[in-house]
Amino acid sequence: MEEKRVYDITMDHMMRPRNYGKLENPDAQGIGKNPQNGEMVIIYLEIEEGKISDIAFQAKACMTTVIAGSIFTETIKGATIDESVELAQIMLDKLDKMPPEEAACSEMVAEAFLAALEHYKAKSEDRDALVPTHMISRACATDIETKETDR
Amino acid sequence: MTKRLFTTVHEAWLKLLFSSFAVQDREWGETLYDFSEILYRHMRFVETMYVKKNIEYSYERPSIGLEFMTEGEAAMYCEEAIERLRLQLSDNGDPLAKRMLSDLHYMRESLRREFNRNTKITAFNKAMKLGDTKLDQSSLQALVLFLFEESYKEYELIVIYGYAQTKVQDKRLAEIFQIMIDESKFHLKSFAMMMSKMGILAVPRMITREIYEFESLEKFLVDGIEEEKGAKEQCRMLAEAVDDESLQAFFDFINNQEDYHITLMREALERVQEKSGD
Repeated sequence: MEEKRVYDITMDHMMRPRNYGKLENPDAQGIGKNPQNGEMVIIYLEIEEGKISDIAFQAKACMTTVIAGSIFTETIKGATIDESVELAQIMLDKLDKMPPEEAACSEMVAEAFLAALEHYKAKSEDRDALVPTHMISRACATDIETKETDR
Repeated sequence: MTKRLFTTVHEAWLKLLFSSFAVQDREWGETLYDFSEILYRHMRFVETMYVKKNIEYSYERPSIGLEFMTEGEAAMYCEEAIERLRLQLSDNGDPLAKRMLSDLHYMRESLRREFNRNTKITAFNKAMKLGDTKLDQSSLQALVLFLFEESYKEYELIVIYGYAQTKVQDKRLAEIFQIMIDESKFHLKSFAMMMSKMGILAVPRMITREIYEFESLEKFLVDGIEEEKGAKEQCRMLAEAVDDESLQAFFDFINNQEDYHITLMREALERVQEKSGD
């Protein structure tokens, strides 16, 4: 029953990814990238009174990454910065228990988010601070998937 | 004509296209498909005009949800998309605007006659069944993932080749891109019809500027050839994974079509390399 519930949730995010796209005037942006195959996630943030008031993401990556981005962004929208960092950390701590391809996708999302927060802090000192890119440590796709997404 | 027009006609194209896959009545579905093709051509007409006039435009767009439960509601959903487009056009004597307004008027009238259709839409019910075809859980999961990945890829290729076509001067290159667009449209239709039968139909996510605005046509083609090889391998693996003869035949058929795509893309690559003196 639990497996079916998880599958239904996953399917729902595949059919209707939440928060996919760009924000017009984000307060910060961050990139999570897989150096092995060029896959990447970009996260856009709007922050008001210490809370994630809006968030969007783009993925040049496989469907599993889109699902991870959709679930993650939906969960942290409205959370405080501290709460969202905690959630990203929980996600990163669980990577070892995931299948390798899922772990890399989730890591890319979490690292893109942490990079965006880094950008937010840097912009408080320098408005023109560059958008940081965090490289992930896990290998993701099979050879076939790598060729497909490495444009 | 405004810059917003390009996004609105892009959305209208996709709304009618995916509605055409969703409806049960296949004869009407084909009419909707033809309407969506008219809207696609509108989009390309507008794009050509913008390129000529050096007006900036974007293939980026909001997410599109297919929000209807019956065929009558699907007709209303499509009519609303067309009405939004019509409101952005004015009959100012411009031949393209006149042509578009005439097409939109005809399609709206046709759609309004279908508002009373009662047939329920099953394309989003997540039934995960493909007619009488029996698939074990792992084959089913592999097929679902493949359909989502590939429907996105085919849409992505339609966008990228369309964008590239308006930028190149070489006639043969433009012709090759048109063939690839037509082929991708057929693949998208095949995959989306399968998704509709399985109750998992969805409009693919948007293609971002960073993806469709490639820096080097040569690199794009080199990578594209590798992608085609990857797609062939995906089809071959899926044909092996699914324990069903008709599905196996379908994926072999798609796989064999990719061979010609590779030939065309190699020809395009040679032309680009010749011109750059490599």
